[in-house]
Amino acid sequence: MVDTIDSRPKGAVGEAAMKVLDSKLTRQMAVNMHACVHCGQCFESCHYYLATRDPKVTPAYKAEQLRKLYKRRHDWLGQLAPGWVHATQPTDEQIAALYEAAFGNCTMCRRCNLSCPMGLDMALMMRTARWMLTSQGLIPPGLKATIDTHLATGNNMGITREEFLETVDWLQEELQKELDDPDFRISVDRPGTEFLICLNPREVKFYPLLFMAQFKTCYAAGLDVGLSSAYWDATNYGLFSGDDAACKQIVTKTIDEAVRLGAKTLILTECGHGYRVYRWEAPGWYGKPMPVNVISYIELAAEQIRRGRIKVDKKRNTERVTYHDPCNQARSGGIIDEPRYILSKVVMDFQDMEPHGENNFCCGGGGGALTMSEFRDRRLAAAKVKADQIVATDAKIVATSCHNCIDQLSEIGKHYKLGVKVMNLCELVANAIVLPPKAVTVAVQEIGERPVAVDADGFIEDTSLWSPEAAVFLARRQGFGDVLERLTPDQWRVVDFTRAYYGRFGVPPMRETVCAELQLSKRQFGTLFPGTLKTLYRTAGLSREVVHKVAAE
Amino acid sequence: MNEVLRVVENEVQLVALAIFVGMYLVRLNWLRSLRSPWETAAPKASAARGVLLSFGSVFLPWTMESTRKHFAVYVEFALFHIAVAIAILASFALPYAPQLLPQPVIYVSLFFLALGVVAGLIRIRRRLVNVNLRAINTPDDYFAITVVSLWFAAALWGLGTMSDLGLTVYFGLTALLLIYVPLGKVSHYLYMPFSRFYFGYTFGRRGVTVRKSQWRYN
Repeated sequence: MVDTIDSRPKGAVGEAAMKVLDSKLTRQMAVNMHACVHCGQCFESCHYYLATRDPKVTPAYKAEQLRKLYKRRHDWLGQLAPGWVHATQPTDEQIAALYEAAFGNCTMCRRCNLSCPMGLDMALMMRTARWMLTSQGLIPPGLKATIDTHLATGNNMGITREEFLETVDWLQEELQKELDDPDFRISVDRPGTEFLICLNPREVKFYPLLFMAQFKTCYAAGLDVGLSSAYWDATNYGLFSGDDAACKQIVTKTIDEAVRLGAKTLILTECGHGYRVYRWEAPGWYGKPMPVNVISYIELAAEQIRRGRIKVDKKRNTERVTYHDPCNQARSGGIIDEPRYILSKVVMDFQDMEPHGENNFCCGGGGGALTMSEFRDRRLAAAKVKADQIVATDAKIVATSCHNCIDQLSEIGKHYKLGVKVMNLCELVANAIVLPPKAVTVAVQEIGERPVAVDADGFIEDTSLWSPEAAVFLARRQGFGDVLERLTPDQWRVVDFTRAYYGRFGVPPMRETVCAELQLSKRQFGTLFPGTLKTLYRTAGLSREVVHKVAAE
Repeated sequence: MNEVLRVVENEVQLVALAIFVGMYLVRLNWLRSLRSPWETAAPKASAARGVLLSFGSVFLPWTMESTRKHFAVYVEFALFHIAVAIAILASFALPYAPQLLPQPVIYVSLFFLALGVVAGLIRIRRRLVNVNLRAINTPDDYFAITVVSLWFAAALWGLGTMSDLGLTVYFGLTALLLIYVPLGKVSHYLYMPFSRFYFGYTFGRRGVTVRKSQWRYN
């Protein structure tokens, strides 16, 4: 950093950085610059300060490093009597102090934002400061390398398409074994994929179990998910360098890829900042209405569990679990209750940290801190607050849903000898999932050229083999005697309508719909197809999965 | 009433007020001229409720960790600002609507002004003693709190004795503050509605401070 400043004429870096500040000056930013009353209420909200008690790491002090520069340029008193309000020119020394504050002593976790009586947004100020510096080449090398790699290769670890596809193949085989389903496929680049999953490159490279856990969840929920082999990286470290152009480039490629594949929804893996980027910040960078929905894996899993589409058994996770809220996902993303809802369903013993939720302390690995090896010592020192929080819960497992948090929490665990296991939420979910029993073929009838097989519930196993002859076979098997022995024209009318409806809407019609459309009373319907609606669905050749999905809803 | 007091209470006040309003309007116009990017992502919860909660949190100290932990500081903040409100209102009531200040109202005002002085002194002391606060406080901060505390004391003196000298000092300080406020730290009054609005808007629509009941888990 010092080399970069020294290589330029004295004060040149600062002057150029100030031009960047001027270009980034919004109303919100100006308000943040003027409204601080220096009351000190933010001090104890900061993990850096709590761990060190150093006056130079309080949120207000860090913000002052930027305000001093701003005031000299935009504040009346700062221009008239700079010393009166500590306004200063952008000297090399002041730029160095800003670098320390913005990159070395702040993770942009926004916790102080909640404690500020004025509601000032430190993350906005620090991100602006970071961009002022980054634009002048003052950026931690690790952070720069991560962004450059992403821009050059499409993902932040430089994983090639071949490597990616190889990993997907391997994990597909693993999942086929785990799910006991040789037909299981991970769709890659398939047009029409409804849900497109964005992964963290670390899941592809180092944590395949997390990759598998997420696909297992989607499989259990019966969702049509897939991947892009070109733009699948959920991360965007431009958020941490303040580089909006890089952010825009990255999100645009991913969103355009989703559009190309016809996806309706992007599922963001358990990546704190990735979720925030795509859910909340991307629309601003994308510059036009978002053509896809964005949800987190956490939201998806919580919703599927709540709707009963995924069966879980909490007895499979018996150890005490606590949960660390990733700042970008909770405080800046609003995902606070969903992970707790999931944990209430998938683990036996859950103990929240205090404080938690929107007031949770940053683990210390936020804001791209893990890429900045030069600040490792202070990152770990500041993590003492988190270590104490974990110890107080007496938990054996710390769950979280962010890869930066996972890495930092693992490092904290070793550094402070906590003796805890760190897990992503998806691992706990996957472990608790109870897959429905496999369909067992109980009857086979030769109809036409190929045998039609029926499972234990009486549903056709391969729906493509359905034919009018197969319908009669399926109807007769249901044990309603003469009623379904030979299908009458009225029964055919119902069957045809059901198949047409399913073909059009992707879901089978409910009884009320059939009756309304075909002008049947419920009694007449019951006479045509006795028993439950399944009698009709079986006859119409709908699959067991489709019917079970409807039942769950 | 001597002539000095009459001029300070009327002409000087009006000129100072005109300068104050003029400077505020210039500042507001400047703020208005800046870009104000709005979030365009689909909201998760209500921005309007978030804004209401944000402004309400000033009166709900238990909703903020800092005021929960330091309740005494919150009380001091409240007393200080009650005194500010009284001192401002009195500066208008005394010359233009003295009937609004019957004896009981004056007694209550004096009580809160006295507490305001105490709160101001505590604030000055804390900023001088606390090393962390010293690191961020500027001469402007010390000056602002000192002048405002003196203003409370002058109001206490003027309202309490109704003496020409006390009232002249009070109105003199009022005029000084009116001119200084838009320049220095006290101008946070101007920016606070914006900052609390942005806070409530962002955290409300993102579902951080406003939550959906469907995910209640216990």
